Amino acid sequence: MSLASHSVLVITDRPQSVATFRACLSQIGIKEVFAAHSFREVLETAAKECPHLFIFDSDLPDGSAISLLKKLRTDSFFEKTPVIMIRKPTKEELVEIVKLKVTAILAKPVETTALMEKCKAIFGALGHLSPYGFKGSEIPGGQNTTFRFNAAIVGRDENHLICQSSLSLVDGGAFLISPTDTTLAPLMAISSGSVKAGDKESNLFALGNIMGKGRTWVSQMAPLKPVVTLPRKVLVYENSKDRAEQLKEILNFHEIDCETVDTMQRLAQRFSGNPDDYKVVYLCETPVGAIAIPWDKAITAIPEPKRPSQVIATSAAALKARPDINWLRKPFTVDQLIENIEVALTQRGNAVAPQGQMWDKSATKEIPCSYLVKGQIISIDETGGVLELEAPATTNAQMYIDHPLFKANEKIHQVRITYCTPSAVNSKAWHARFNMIDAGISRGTFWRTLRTQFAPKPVEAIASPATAAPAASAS
Amino acid sequence: MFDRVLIFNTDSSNQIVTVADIEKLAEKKVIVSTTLEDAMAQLESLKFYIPVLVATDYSEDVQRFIQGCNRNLSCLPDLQIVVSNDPSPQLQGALYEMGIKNLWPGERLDSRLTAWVNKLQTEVKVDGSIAQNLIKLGVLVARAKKGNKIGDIDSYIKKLSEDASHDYRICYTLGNACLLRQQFEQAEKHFIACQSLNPKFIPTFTAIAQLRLQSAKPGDALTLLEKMEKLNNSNSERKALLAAAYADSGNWEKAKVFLDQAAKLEPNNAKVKEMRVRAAFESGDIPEALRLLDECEVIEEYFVTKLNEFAIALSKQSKTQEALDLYKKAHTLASPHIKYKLSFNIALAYRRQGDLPKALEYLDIVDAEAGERGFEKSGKLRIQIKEELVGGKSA
Repeated sequence: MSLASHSVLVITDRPQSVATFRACLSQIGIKEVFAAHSFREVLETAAKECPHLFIFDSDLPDGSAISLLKKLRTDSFFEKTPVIMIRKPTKEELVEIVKLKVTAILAKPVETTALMEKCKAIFGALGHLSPYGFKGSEIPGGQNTTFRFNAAIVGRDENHLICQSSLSLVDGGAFLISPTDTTLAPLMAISSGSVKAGDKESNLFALGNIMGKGRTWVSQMAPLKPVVTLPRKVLVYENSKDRAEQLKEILNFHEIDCETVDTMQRLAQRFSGNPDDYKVVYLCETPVGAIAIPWDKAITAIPEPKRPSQVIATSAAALKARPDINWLRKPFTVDQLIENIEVALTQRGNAVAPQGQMWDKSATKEIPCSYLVKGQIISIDETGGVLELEAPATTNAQMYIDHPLFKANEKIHQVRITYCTPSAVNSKAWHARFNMIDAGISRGTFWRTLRTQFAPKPVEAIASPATAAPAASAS
Repeated sequence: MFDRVLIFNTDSSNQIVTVADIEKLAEKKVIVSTTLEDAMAQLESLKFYIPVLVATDYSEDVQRFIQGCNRNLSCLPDLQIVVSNDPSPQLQGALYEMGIKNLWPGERLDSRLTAWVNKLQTEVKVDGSIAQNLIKLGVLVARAKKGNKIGDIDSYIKKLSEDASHDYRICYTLGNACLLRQQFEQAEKHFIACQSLNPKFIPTFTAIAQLRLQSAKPGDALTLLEKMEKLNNSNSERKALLAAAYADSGNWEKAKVFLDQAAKLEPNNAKVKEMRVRAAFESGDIPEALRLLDECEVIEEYFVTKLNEFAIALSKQSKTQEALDLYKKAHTLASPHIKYKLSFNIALAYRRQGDLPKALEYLDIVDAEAGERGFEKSGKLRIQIKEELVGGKSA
């Protein structure tokens, strides 16, 4: 279990011992170790950094460790934060220590292995969670929240509505697109994927998947003309003969040329023979292991910008984004397969065309808009939180959480996504993590801003029996 | 409205969805059917269910269940859910053709389904929402197709027409409603709009082909249907449509080929049975037509007309007894308002046979069946027969 997300505040009157603590804690993966040497320093650092564990190494010049802990425990923030106390307490002190819910007591001189084991046990009982964290279900309205991304509508071609944003969308996310100009009605759209256009992403939404009154003005837009005429030819690797035949017919139905092969070896041979012939390659399974080597060699022989787009069917739950691969999660409908191939054909065109010059936009004017994505707050802690979105967000995407808790304070209304992965529970949802420190807000400020508005119960793990009972060390 | 779920589980080995998964759903109003008969009985009850099909492969049962959903619940395929971890090409092709987009893996079915039910409930709860109107109109159309009263279709058409310019599902549903009312021009307008909004929604192609057939343009229907047949050649209903298109173009040979294929795929398909009777009539194979006719559940007026035509022809060839057999068969199949005409033809045949008392007996039946409106020809024939009887006696 990684402890990298946990932080520790070491309280000691001997600054020289901090390095020893840091070295010891870094061995078990804890990267954030704060130190404080006076009452004031402890209260300030605790308020700012919200540490997940206090280690009291000694009394301080301006007061005893026990009186300091008493003071900390009066703050509702720290009333359940785990504490390790390194001392040999007197009988009277022991009574106080039990009252103050000290998690563990280690006798001096403490052995580093004992300290490491104790930290691991405490954080293990927390189960990766921050002691300050709480579930989104405890926030009123947290399970029905809207998230907002800034974007612009560029226009439409024959098959798609084209928008521009900093989001690289994958297939299947649901968006409410709301133009800033309120005379234009909003519309509901399902993403078909993205095409990179310069430093921005062109997000594509299949016209057939657009609902809402805004569909009327979209259908009245003059279609953008492509800068280049895109050849429509796909090389298909499909190991089932029946499927290959079916796919050929369906692609022909949609006026897409198709050649099929039944092994990866043949795929590599056919492709290497004439790589420029194929604009998109569809693979019925993810190329892994020895059988994938010929294909890997063949595809990587083509430099990235000229490489054809690959549409790869996969059963994997978590997928790494690749600019040249459109992942297609099994089981998929023929509809989804065709849509993915159509988008991939467009992407290949983009690789051929000058950057960002996919469509001739000279006659159109961009329409500023927002993408409104439905979802819920899964959990929040002092560093940020995890959100469930009905559409994927990319790393570094800026978004607004339109929940009263966040909207009430401009500083925390806008957040930045640090990563986003598909939900393991809901196939049509993604889990995105945002981090407030990246926005220049300290954990304490973020936490107090939220906590002044409501007082949720801390996560249950902190009150579990494994951590609640004080454990004295014999060493 | 959206709290009932009907799961048709064709996965007897429980590889896709386990019994435990289904048990988790017990708190919802879930009905699990493992036989087609049971599932169809639920659908025929005309209650609104969210239909969930658990299947690996395409089979006659799967096809009949999907068709049953379309016929009995609503014409909106995006309400239907298919659960399959590794769908066969045939199953995928069929789903594509039906416009079904919700293909789910078996895992975590309970949480997915709960979320889906909640989402639909929220969408439909809004009074006058598109979703609510669409479903209500869809259900009314489905019920009307089954012979129920057309009901309040007009008001729903009106409510939805305002939003038709931006929602392909509305256009599709409105098109079907107009097709039902034989408003072909309106139906065409809606289907074309649907196609421009969503060119990949395959059910529109089928609907347009049907429209072309009904508006006597079999050539146009054939082009579309042949193209779609390449996508999926295991749909018995389309084969019946293809046969109808060929028949309407006068190519009964080709029509028979498709009918035989359709009968192999789905021996109990009512439309196919009906078409096979037509084919037998068209090729003049009356015994075969009569044999097939006995298997038909729904008898179209067309068959009665055909039987009558053949009986007249036989009668003219003096094959009176054979003609009488056909007239009597037609009489048993005919709807009450035309029975008197067939009874009259029977009377004529008996007269031709020389059995004048029997002819008079049938003229009495004609009078009884014609009721108050009467039948002038019957009176005239009665006088002629009585004169013949008197003449015969005096002779």
